[in-house]
Amino acid sequence: MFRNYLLVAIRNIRRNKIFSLINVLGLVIGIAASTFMFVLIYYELTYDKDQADKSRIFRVNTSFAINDAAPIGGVCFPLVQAVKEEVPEIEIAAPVFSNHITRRITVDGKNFKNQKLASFAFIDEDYFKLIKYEWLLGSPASSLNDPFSIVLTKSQATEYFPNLSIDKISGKQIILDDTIPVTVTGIVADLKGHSDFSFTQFLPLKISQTAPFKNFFHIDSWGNLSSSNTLMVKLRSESDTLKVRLALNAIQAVHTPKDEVRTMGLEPFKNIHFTPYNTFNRTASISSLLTVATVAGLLLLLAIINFINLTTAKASSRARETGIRKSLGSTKKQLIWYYLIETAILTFIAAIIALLLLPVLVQLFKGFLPQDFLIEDCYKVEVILFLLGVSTLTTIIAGIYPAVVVARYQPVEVLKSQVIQSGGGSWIRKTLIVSQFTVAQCFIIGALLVSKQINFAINRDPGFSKDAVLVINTPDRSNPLHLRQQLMERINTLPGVQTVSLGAIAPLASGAMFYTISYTNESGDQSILTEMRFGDSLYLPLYKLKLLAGRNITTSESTTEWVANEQMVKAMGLRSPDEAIGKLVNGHPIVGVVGDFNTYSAQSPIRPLLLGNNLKESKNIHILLQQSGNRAVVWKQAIEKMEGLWKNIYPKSEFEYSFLDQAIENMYYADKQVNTLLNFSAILAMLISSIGLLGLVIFTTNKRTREIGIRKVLGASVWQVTHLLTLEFIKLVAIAFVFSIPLAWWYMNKWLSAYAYRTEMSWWVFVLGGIIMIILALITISFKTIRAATGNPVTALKTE
Amino acid sequence: MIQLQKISKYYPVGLGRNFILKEIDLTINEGEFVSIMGPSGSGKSTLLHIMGLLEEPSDGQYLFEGERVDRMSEKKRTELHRGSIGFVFQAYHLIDELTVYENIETPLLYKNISSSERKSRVADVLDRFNIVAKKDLFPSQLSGGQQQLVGIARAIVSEPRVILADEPTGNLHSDQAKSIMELFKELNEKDKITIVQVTHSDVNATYGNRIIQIRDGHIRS
Repeated sequence: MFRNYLLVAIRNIRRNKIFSLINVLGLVIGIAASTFMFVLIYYELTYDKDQADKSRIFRVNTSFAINDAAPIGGVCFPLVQAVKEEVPEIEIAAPVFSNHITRRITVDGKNFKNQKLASFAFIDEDYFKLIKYEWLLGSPASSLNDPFSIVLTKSQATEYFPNLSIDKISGKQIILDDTIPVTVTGIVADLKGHSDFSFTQFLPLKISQTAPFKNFFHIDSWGNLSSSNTLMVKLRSESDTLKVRLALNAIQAVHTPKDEVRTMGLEPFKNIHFTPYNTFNRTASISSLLTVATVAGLLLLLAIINFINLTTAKASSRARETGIRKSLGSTKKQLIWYYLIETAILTFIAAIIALLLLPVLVQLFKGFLPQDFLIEDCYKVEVILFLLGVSTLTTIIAGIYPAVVVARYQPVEVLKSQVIQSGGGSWIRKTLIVSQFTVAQCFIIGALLVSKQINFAINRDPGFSKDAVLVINTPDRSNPLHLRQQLMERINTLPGVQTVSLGAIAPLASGAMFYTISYTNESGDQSILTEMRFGDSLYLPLYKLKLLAGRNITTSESTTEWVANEQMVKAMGLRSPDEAIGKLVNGHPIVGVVGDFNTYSAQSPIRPLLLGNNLKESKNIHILLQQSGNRAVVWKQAIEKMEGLWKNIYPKSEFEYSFLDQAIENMYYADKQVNTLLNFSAILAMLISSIGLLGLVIFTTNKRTREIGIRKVLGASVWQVTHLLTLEFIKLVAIAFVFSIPLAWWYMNKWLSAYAYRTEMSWWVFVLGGIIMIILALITISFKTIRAATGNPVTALKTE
Repeated sequence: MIQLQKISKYYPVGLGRNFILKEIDLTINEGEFVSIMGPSGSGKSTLLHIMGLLEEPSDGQYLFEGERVDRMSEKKRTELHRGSIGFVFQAYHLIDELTVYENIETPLLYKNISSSERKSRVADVLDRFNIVAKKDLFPSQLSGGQQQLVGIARAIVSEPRVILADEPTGNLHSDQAKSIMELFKELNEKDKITIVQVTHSDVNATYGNRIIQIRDGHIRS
């Protein structure tokens, strides 16, 4: 019986090639898209999935009670030792300080760059108690004794010493930043699976006390905080969480600088990969994953609706078979099974094609996937199980209704008469089409609005001039001020260069610098969490910051005076910029006030900010290029010459520069990803919906062939007939448009509310979305209607 | 075997009823070969469908082997379909996607007959009708007469007690019609299968041993 069903189903699929193709195509799109998104979500959710005792492991967070700043995933240096000694409830306290200090690594004369996120860490023995590694050489106890030792993972060791066996690598020397020799004392196997702890090289934290590193760590400071200084703790018991938090707060409170409030928190291990704030590795956003999952679900739903639509539209052609089978003794149940099997075959064909398409999708959407994502991640048991699950679910949801419709035919009606009524109420099919188009319409409007917001955010006036500005980062190490000044002066003489300034980060940059400053007014001492910028006297004119009161800062080696922004004036409780002039902040006077300018992406509001004149803190050279003449050529030559000058002054470091406007654009990377996803989904949604519409059009038009023939014989023109046929479908698309407006408005309003600076939800975006959809629907419809309308009426009437 | 008592079939039209069959009394005994004749629209096909359980009468009683069909459960009726009644249609109604062999096999599948028995039964029928060579062809590759032959083969493969034939030769030319009718006669005489056929043709009607004339929903004989 089953074999017979299978056979007939396959023959049926082969007989109706076009129909099956359209059906499978819709399913392939839906299943491939949802599987691809499942792979992505599954990948993110399985970070460190094999870590033991997860529920007892936490990261220690520090939050400032001032402002609404998010916690920082780091701690003050001395807290580490204090926690180890003073909190008995903690079983393991493992500092994991990521090493951003080392830039260059030299092995046997070959240079390597330290650039990967989470590749280089300062740790101690306890780290290896928390995260279990297999030791191929050395041991946690012996390998970290000497501060100048280094432990490598196998993959890193192979990269550095490609031709040596493990025991030969033991004792080999590696030179950090040309000056610090360290010895390989241990090799561990790489962790299996993807992990946030993807470090490949470890230095003992002890090395921080030695001369070459001392200046980079604030070993004794209870005030200085860096998000790269992570402290992981493992509690003896889960129930101690509150106790430990209180203990941590008590320790920190004793030492916290005056006027400051800090709260220590524990971030559960399972959240580490998803916290929006800094951590040593890339994090994923739960809300984007939810968006991805929703989009995947919707695309699959569209494909299912499509299938139902097309299959029920086609039902009448199967009616005769139902009639015969019933007269031969088949029950309705057997027939339902029979038609379900056919759906199952189509679905599984689609699933197999989707599986084969996965690597192609991975290749196409590389930019959308995490960098450490591999094609192998697509081929896992879980993915196959998901495909099986999705296929079964699709078969049931998509197959059951058409199967019931077809199996419902009464044999007499079918076998007796030549004209066969359509299967199922046409209102059901119309409702399905409307819901399909509503979803597609929402995607289109969403995609339009997201790109409008991104354009707005990138092209918005940030309150300073960002065009034609080049920023060069000078080295962190062995870089006295005079070298920087020397380079600056030489660049200043190059043709094509207009202004050069030495400063810290640019007005708008992805890295933030915060200080807590103290200020005294009538109501007493005040602390304000302030963003900091540093620069010389040319910083302000180079970026064309608008001076509202007072004067510009003068150039000085260490801070002597400030320029504040308007928010700072407000935070100080002053009414006008003029009042701020002369006020002392951290012991230095405010000499000028500038208009607010944006310091981060459009998502964040402008915060209080101080610009100080401190050349020691200024390690970036900001260059304003001339904008006249042939920019491409002049700038290229200027940059080449700058590189030449750089090589003279910093022969061992690499020349790195970035254009500010490009750097700002890159800050919208995540938004652009959302945009890509939406564009991609909108196109797919339109494609699937159009296929569904085409199915309905083919069905209705075929049903009306006779009517069309009669009308034409009676004198209707091609245009009149086309109009008649088209209007019916355009009505459905129009209804979908009306439904989609509130839905899209509600969702996009929610999305935009995450931005402090947002574009308007203009009416024309909705209208444009509607027009796009209507045009697409018209094209789809005309495939069939025009042919039907121009057909010879005689043949239409004869075939009946 | 088949007893119809005051069978009516009507459709509501406005406030009244449009009768297709009106109070038909008819008994068909086992082993008979009955021809039902009448002009188009006289209700003869409806009568046949009612006998074949494809349609339900609006009024009256239908007894199949003494049992009231309207009181039978859905399951019992399906059993009856599968076991006792075979259909032959004017338009053959073979399943296009199945080969000759598979078409003949289908009723046996619904009767849950074992694979080996199915094979031997289908082989027997193919042999008997001389269509072994055509068993792997699809209906579209056969002539009308051949298709109807397959239709009849399919009807008798489950060894029914009654064959209900709705203008079985309506789409065939006279030579083919003749051989089909002879086949029916043979099935009736040799295999003792009761046959009820609806026909327009006087010639075909003479193959049976009783002719029932039907006109405007009434029997006139």
